[in-house]
Amino acid sequence: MMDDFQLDARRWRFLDNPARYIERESGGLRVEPLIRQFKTAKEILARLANGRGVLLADDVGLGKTTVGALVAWVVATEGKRVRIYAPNEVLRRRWAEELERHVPMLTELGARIDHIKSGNITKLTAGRIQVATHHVLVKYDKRTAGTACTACDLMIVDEAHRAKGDGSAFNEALRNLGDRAKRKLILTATPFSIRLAELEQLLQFVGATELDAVRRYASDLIRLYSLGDGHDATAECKRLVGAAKDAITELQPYLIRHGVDDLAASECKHFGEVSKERWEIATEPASHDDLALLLRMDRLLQLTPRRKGERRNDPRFHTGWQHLSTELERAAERASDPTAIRHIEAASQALRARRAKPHPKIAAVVDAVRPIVDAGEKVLVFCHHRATASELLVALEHALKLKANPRKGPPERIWRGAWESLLPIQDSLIAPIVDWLCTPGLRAQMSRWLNEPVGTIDSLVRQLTTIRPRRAKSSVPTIHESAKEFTRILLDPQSTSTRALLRSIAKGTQAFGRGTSHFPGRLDDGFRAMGAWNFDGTGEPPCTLYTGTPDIVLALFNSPFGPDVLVTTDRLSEGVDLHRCCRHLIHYELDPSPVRTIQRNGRIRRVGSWAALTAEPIQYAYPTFGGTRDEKAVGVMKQRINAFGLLLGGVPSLDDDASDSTQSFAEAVLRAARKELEALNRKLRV
Amino acid sequence: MTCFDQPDTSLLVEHLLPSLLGANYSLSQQIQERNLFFGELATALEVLHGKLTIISSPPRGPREDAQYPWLWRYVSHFSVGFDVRVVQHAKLWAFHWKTDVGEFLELHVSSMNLTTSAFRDQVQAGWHVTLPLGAPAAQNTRKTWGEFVLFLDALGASAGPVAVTRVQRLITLLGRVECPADVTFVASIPGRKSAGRQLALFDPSEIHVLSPTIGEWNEKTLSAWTADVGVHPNKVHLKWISELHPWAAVSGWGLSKTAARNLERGGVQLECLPNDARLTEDHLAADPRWSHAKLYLLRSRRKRRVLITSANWSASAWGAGRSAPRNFELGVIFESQWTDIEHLGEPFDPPKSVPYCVDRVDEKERESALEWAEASWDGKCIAFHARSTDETSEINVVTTFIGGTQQSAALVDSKASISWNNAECTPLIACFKQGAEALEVDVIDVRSPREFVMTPLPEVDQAIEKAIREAFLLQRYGGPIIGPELTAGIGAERQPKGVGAPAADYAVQAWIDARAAFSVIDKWRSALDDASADARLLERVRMDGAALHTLFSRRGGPAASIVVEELGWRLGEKL
Repeated sequence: MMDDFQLDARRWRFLDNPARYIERESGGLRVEPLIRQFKTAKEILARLANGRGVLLADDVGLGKTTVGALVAWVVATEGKRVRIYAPNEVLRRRWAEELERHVPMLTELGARIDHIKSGNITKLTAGRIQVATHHVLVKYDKRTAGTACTACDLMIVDEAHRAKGDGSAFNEALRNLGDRAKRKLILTATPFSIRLAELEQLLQFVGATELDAVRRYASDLIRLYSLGDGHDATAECKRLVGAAKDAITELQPYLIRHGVDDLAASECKHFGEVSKERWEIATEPASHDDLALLLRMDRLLQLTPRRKGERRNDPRFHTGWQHLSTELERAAERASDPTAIRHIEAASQALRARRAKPHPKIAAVVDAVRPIVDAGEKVLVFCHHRATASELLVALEHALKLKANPRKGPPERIWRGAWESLLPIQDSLIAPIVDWLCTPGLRAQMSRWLNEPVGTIDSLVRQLTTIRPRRAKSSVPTIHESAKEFTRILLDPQSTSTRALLRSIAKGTQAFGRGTSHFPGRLDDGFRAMGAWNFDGTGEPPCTLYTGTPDIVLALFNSPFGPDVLVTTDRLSEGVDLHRCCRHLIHYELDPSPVRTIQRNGRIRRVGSWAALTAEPIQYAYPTFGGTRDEKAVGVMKQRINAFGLLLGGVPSLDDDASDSTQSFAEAVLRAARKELEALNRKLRV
Repeated sequence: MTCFDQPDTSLLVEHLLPSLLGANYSLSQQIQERNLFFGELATALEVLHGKLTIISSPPRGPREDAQYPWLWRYVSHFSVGFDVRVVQHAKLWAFHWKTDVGEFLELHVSSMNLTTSAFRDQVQAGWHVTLPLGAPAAQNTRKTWGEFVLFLDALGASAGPVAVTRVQRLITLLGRVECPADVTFVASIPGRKSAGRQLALFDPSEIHVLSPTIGEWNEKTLSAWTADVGVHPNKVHLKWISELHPWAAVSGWGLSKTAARNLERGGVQLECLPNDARLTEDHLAADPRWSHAKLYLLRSRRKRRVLITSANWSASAWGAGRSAPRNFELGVIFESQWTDIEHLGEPFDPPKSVPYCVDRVDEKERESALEWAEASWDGKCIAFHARSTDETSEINVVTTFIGGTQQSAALVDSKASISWNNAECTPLIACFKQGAEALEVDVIDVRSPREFVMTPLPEVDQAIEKAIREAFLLQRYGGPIIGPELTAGIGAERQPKGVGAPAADYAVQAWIDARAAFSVIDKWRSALDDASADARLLERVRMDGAALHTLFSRRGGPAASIVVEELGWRLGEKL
């Protein structure tokens, strides 16, 4: 490409020496990831200088933002304009922080904090970096003058997989405005979900033109699943590897990807290891009567459709009874046909009988969660639908609820004295935090972590500063250190929503559980589970559901304090940390896209994870309600994750290697080809 | 359907009916496929019981043993001559189709008998039309069919009281759609006016005739016929074959020497068909088939019309002057650009070309006094009825049942009846005897659907009959097509495999099964609604509902349980 995009390679020589870079830094950078991140940034800069764009598809949690920030600074300090588009305000803020973090080390190059520009910048001055959200790009696209507002030398699009889908506004904006940038860098851990066309779109956006071999490989993978036994596995294996080789050759110039498991052991250990054994949550399969109820509902919706072509086999029917109950009531309002009315009567009767106890899958998850939280661990549960999340949360609230907070441990005044001495008042909003730490619920929780009875403030302070929460090992911060970090996060001036909430709590205008609890989660009422999603207004919300800006929920869940179980939806599946105190994740429901699953898993497998600190494995569970669509969904996800991992590498299969399940022909071929395919995927690394 | 010769059960069972009913199987020596073939055909015929009717002439002498005599349980075979001796020579097929896109009437008028020879050895001429049916029936609409309605009325009456109701259904349908404007039916009805007069309406100036059988024309009849039609005899061009023509070697074409001489004397132009004359592109040079077509080309001023009919050129077929036709004949006439037969043939040039003449003994009419007979069985009694011109001699009837057993009865006042309620041993043939004369007819089965279904399926291994019935019952209501891979397990108490859920599909087998089963139930319910005006059909569909209930009840699993429950409700609703 002949343009005026020239970079002086001498200016990124610092990337050859990460150790020296760290010496000048005080923000917590670690050398292990930095070696790789520097190497990646260098490679990206070289490719940009050579006229190509890059799709950086490193696994979730590998620090793509750091790489992007380094690249942005090198380009900007050469007097070029850089525009960065993050998916939302939280991530926009994180980008700004990341850019700021590197300023001290890059001052010599010319990096300055005031060169970082936030929000809408219509005309960007040379040497400046604009950090905006995707929304800004979409907004520009709707204006006729949009093109002028996006002109730049380097456009960095973070979490660009959101541009997938032909019709999305963001995708449209990228297509329309992308060519205003001389170079493009796309960051996404999941460049495609179900359709390969999504990956093609992104690669074309960064400049790739030849993608025939990639398409052939993808279609070979699809074909593989259509073949039955009796085909020649060796021949298919050979054919697949040949196709993969050609595809990787096409991908390699534009795509860089590292998986967590590809990293050097010294770096990998900071992420924590995924358990080799599958976390099985034994769920009673759907009984004859369960299936009859579900099938009756299917029939009922056929007889009384709300609209033509309405989806009848709603996935929510298979993971809880709540949505089925709602739909049954709606069907009853519509029904006029006598047969439909009889089905409604029969279904209502069957549903009443079922609702006397929790849904079998919910019951199984509750049973699986209980011993884990009793052992001091936290559990993260993802649902795909709010109705299901609601039903599950209510069951967890009741099943895990402590009968009463035991009156053990020191009295409140001792706690207050200890915390006031440990958390000095530098910010007026620390008071509600200390108040919360001294509530009966928190005192009861922390008392369980203490070794011996304490009678004085000093002895409590001693224990808080030496004992680690949740019976953790030595590498975990102490209770005091955890509280300090918790406080720092809550009082972060950037987190306006949390500070506003703290102000309301301090004034007494905001409380939870009719005033009995100070913070979300209602630990004081004995609840050990809480939920976080946008309430849809249907029915009575669960007691512990928090529907506000989730910052405080993230802070709580990332601390050892507060509720042990967080039930949430995919609202929190991307761009947030949930790994600091949790290594157990349950996919109660799956989104059809493997991107969602990969992103969810990435929430707890990140640098500095609880798993890494405790040296305990990360556990992912995919419980299924046997005999229903829910069971199929996991099977489909397995296939999609496999396809994703085969093309790009670095995605662990949903199956463990020891699985003795009957292999399909496709699985047999993939297992046989695995080593060669993995070797080919390694070519995408730097 | 109508025909002249006795309909051939081999043709109907092995070829024609499977083809018309859209069967998935063809006859095979392989035992399982054979079972499926007959199972599919018989279950389909069972549904249509009481709706398939064939009317032919009475047999001319002793009949050959039919290969599948059980066919006449399913298809009612009537003979004409209930009140007076007549010949049924028309070749009409009429089908009433009910499809997803509506109801249709399909008509075929041709020269085609229901015999293997007609399909295999002969070239035929035919016309057909498929018309969408409107509703309801209207007298004015029916009138547009002209002679066709009169023909049907007379044909039904001549085939006996049961046949009248069957033919009446077709007449009712003719009230739901107008006759195509460019087509006129030309029909001969025994005892009525000469059909030649119907041709006179087209004001022909010349007529070309291609017919394999020529009547015993004489001066009087020829003169009367040409007068009826309105053409001078020397404007009648008869296309005929020479002695050397390949068709002379088969017994299909017939013209007596006397008639040939009379025609020549009368001025008729006898024109020699070239040996290589071909009527259609499909009629290839080496093709041994001979023409059984009856084609007439009428020239009138600038127009040319083609008549496609069953009527040979004879006074029996057409009538002549005051002499009424003796046959039922049916044809359609329409304007056409097809004029091939007009220019086909040159005058005979003896001895180079001599008209082929033969006195055909087999065409002579039966002279028996025992002119008509009918036997019908309603599940309780077999009723016999015969008509003879000899009112003094006793008439006896011997009934042959499936398996070969026989039972005799004597007719009193031309009628008799015997009690018979054995559904597994059904009566097949009734042979009426009067003195040395015999007239054999197929027993018409008029049992109710409930009784009819008690008779085992023919040619099917009884051990798997139940499974076959159920499989085809499901298929009939949109269930899975029975595939050869299922034949091995068809007798077992297990449900047929549905379409397997592909790996990357969220479909669950229980849902696939339930939806497939409910689809069957919905089709059945729709059939029940459609049958509301037809008591016999309604009974039939209800029985299917009960059979489906039994079938699904035997299947285990949640899908079957709710299907059975709903089917039970629906069966209850409609009772």
